[in-house]
Formats: sequence, structure tokens, C-alpha cells
Amino acid sequence: MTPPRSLLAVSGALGLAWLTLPLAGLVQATQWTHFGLESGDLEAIRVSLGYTSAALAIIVAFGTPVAYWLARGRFRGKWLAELLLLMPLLTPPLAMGILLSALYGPYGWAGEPLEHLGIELTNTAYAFVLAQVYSAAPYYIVAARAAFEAVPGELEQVALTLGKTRWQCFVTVTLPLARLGLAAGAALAWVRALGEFGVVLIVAYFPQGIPVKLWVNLQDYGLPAVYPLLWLFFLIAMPVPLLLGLLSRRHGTAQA
Amino acid sequence: MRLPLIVLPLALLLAAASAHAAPKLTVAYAGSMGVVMDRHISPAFEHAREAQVRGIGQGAWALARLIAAGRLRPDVFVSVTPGPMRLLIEKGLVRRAIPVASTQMAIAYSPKSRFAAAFARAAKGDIPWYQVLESPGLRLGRTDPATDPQGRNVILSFQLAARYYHRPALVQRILGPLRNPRQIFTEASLLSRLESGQIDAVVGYLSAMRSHHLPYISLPDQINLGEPAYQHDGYDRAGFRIDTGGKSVEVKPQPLVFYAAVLDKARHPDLARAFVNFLRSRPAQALFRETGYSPPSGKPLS
Repeated sequence: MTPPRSLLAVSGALGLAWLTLPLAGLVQATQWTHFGLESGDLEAIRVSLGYTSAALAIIVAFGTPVAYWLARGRFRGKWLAELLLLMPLLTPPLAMGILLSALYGPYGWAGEPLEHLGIELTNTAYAFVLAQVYSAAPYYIVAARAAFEAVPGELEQVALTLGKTRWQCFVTVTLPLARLGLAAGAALAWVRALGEFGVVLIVAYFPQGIPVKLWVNLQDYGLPAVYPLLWLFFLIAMPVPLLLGLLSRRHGTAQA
Repeated sequence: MRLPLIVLPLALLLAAASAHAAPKLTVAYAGSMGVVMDRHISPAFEHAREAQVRGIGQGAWALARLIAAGRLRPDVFVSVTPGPMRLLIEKGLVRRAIPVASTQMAIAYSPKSRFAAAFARAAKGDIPWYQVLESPGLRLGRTDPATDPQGRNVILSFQLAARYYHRPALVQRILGPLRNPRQIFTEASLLSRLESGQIDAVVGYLSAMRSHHLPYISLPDQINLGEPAYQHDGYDRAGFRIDTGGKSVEVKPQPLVFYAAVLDKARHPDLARAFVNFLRSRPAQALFRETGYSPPSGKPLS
């Protein structure tokens, strides 16, 4: 028995309205007459945009092969690989931060050799990017893997029999067909990394990106200083997912 | 007719909500008091009054701002230093705050640190502590002086040390810039780093160090900000300016006293008053002493 269309529309609209209530609260709470940024807010925006872009590039570069390997690979113990991938997703952010600080700290077994190479992973730009990669990479990999699995294996086989190399067939067949899912995964990883607070707070209190600056503003200035920065956060976080969605959808309909 | 799927999450939600229907006292307290409040004071009060206590531990200034803005409605607020409490008194949200405990500044070190032996000698008084802290490669941790009273007190205390030991460059040599990114972490980050051996030493409240059973070095009364007798003849020589809240503010030493107050808009006013009175009672004071706090000093704020 399928529910009538109107019921579907009503329940859908209700769910959406319920989720957007906090935004309505923000509109109401913002002091529009005294709308202004605090000192250091612009720097926080620069930090967030710059380093989160770097984190996203790293996530896509390293995550795509992992996702493809999980989607196409047939090997014993694959369930274990999948479980390990879910571990960072499962770990509460604060705990993840503590684990990273012990591992990449100046006396940690990964941190010490890196420090000799001049890469400090405590309160530095490197640490900031590291925290975001750990918190957002699993989201991208899970989404990208689903995208690769949705591409029929027969198409790749056909391309191979036509004399294409495995790499050519990945670039010309698999990637274009999985583009929609990959874009969704990248968008998800972007908003996840940009908003990450728990891990960053432990690993990189400096340089201060937007989430930590919101926390500092709350303590320094009080609530009214939080809202303008939050609006800007939405402003800079939104274009990436919107653009990715738009691009992939345009191509999607063109193919259909 | 099958039940629509939406009934299941709603039923779960209702079940979860009804499990917490008993009235509860909400106590917001300075973040450094976690151990004594959550593990000692609250359970003892629950046992004595058959009430439930919910503790919220955060930076005292952050809590005061949230309460002042009406975003947080605790029944009781416990602050460290008078500053955050004064904010609520000015806003008319608190009428009277009473001292319940006090503490001093001290230096905790990691037993795993390669400087642990030197710290142990400094704790015994064989070598001066600032000599150990000046060791090259030593990693020191503190909280943010822009947002946290504890982080401000580190700087004030070291300014007093510079005068006391006649070492004018002490602050610059050990702490560096006021907001030195190599040293500043949040409270949670500091403790986990110290315990996992990723930093060698932390400057902060003695009470929290004792609560966490960390080895520490005590500082003389003339510089530890915990002896009211030195407040107007010694401590007030320290002071610095820092940019916070968009303006440069003058930071002066305030007594390291913990104040407790009932919020005017408390949901459970009688229980809240009982809790604040309990903090001054003999059993609660004994718990404060056991977890490393010193007796309350000074007058109530109003």
C-alpha cells in the first residue's frame, strides 16, 4: 500500500522544517544592527578555507585508490579492511584528538621522526590538516566506494577487451560513471572537515580555524560575537557542495 | 494495519526521556574542578539528599557568558576567581556568592618526561625550578590567557617570580610571547598530553594537579597567588595587557578562590541553596581537602 502523494509531501516538508529550525533561530538571534566581525575572524576564515582545501585534496588523492580497491578488490579479510575503515568514523572526536596527540606528539613514535624532518604536528598548520584528514577521510571513502560499486563491472571488462590498459579504462570509463557519487562524497568530506571541532581542539588549538574561533569568541565576547562568524561559515561552506551537486547533476541528466 | 515506521523512533525517544523524568539539580562549575565535583561532592550530596546532580564543567568565563545570555540555566554556578561571578552579579542573575575553596599556582610534570629526574630535584628544593624550565628542548604547556583565568594566572605568577628571584628575563625565557602557540592548549588537551608524555610540564592550579595525582613542584607563597595576605602587598605588582573581546584589557591578579552561588532563576531554588550550603559543610570541606584544595578564604561577593 503506497501512501498518497500529498502525505509524502507533507511528511517530507515537516521533516525538513524540523531540521531547519536552528537556522530560523539563528536568523532571529543575530543582532543585525550590530552585525560585524571580531578581530581575528577574517584570519580564521582564511585558515579554514586554505587548510581545509588542502585537507580535501589529500583526502581525494589518498581516498580514491582505497575506495576503488575496496569496491573492486577480491581478497581474504576484506571485511577486516572495511571494519578498520569504520574505526575513525566510530571514534568520538575528542578521543580521536587524544589518540592523535599521543601518536603524532613530539615524543610519539610517529611524531618524533617527523619532527626531525622539520614537520611539527602540534599546534601547526600540518597538525590542523592532519586532524581534518582523519575526521573526514572515512566519509569520502565510504561514499566513493559506493559510487565505484554502482559502475557495472561489465563495462570495464568491455573496455579491457578493446585493448585499453587498466589505467585508461579507470580514467575513461569508471571515473566518469562514478562522478556523481564521488562529488557527493567530496562535498560530504568538505563540510565534515570544515566543521570539525573536537579533534582540532586537541591537536591544533592554533592556527585557529572557524570552529575553534567560534569557541574562543563565545568566551571572549559572549554570544552576539558568535553569530556573524557563523553566517560567514555557512557562506563559505555551502558553495562547494552546491557547485559539486550542480555540476554532477547537469552531467547526470545529460547522460540520461 | 501495520504501524507506520515513524512510531518506532518516537517510542524509543519517549522511553529514553521518561527514564530521566526525576528532578535534577544542574551545577555549572569551573573546568578544573571536574574530579572533585563529579567524583566526590556530587555523589555525596546525592547520597545525603536523594537528589540527582548534573555537572557541567567548562571554562568559567564561557559558562558565565552562556548563563548571562540565557543560553544555559543551571541552578548553581561555581566560579574560580571573582571575575566570572561578578559578571553574573552585575547582570542581576546572582545576589551573593560565597567562597568554598581556594588553590595556588604550581608546576606539574610528566613522570615520563626525560626531565623528570631534574623536576624531582627541583621539587625537593635542590635546584631552582626555573633552571629546569629553561632547559633547551623542554616542552611546557599552559592554557590560553585570552580566554582562561588559569592561563592568565600563569603569566602573573611568572612575573612575580621574575621579581622574587631577581631574574628579569624569566618570563621571556620560559613563556615567550603571551599567546605562544608552542605552549598553549585547551585544558583537555593539556592533561592528555601530560599524561601521555607528549609535554614535559604544565603550569596551573595545584588543586587539579593533586586531583589527578600528578607529581608537582610547589611555588613560594610570594608568587603562587594563593595567599590572601600577599594580595595587596606583592601580588598587585604583577599585571599585563592582553587583547580580548576586541579591546586591550589590563589583567591583574585576583585571589584563586572558588565561589559558589545560587542562580536567581534556579529551577530548584531550595535544592540549589542546600547544595551551596553543603559545599561549606564539614564533610564537603573534607572532600575538598582530600582532592588537593585549600580552605576557602576572603569575603562573600555581592
